[in-house]
Amino acid sequence: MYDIQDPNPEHGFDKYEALRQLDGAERTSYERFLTVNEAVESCLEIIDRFAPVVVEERPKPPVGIDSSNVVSMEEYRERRGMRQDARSTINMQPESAISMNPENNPVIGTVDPYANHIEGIMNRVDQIREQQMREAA
Amino acid sequence: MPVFKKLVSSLSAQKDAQRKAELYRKLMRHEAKIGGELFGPVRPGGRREFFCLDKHTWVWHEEWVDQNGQHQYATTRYDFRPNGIVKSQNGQYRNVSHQEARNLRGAMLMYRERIKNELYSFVA
Repeated sequence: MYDIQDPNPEHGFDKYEALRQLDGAERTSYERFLTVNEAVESCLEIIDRFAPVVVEERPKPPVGIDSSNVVSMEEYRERRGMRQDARSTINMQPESAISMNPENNPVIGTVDPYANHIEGIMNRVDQIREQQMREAA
Repeated sequence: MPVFKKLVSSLSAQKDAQRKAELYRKLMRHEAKIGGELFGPVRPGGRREFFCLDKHTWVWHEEWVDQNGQHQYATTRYDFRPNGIVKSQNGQYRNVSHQEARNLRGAMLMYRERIKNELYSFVA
């Protein structure tokens, strides 16, 4: 009996050859699996043409927040010559919608529902920044 | 070939074809059950099936009991054609959103993986 589970292509695995050598229930099962497998492959092709799957999508900032000055934490540290400090990571993730460009203060849009929250974050960021500058001095 | 021998041979072939068709249906029913488990828990009193009908068609069948205690059902059929996907739900045609197409993609991949491991591991 041909070993249909032999994954080595050098051994000449051929699913149709395997099919020919199966009988009865095994053959029916294998036929059914081949049908599903072919259905998945052809349907995926159509879906990918119709609705391409986005492998990696960068999170978009909320409406009203200017993201033009967003820099990564590494870049921010590099510019400021800052050392790694656990406290500096608070609210400063690279994907943060808040601009951490030191040349500009955080650029925040006027989104009323979040105004208090954003103001709180800004105050905290300012506090950390001042503390770090004192420590660096 | 004598008539009797021909008759026996024909009956035997017919029986084989019937057995094959029955097994094929059983396999599909089992797949549908596995497919129904891909989308999370089913509402109490409900039933869900998701399966590959043929090379171009996928079916999602859902039954549930509504707030008034009425039995409801929805059979959604996705027909894959070279120019896109046609979705019909309880006989009415509807659009397939991009998100729905992506969800369907994920479901099909999981379906293949699950049935391969749970149903066809001895041949696939």
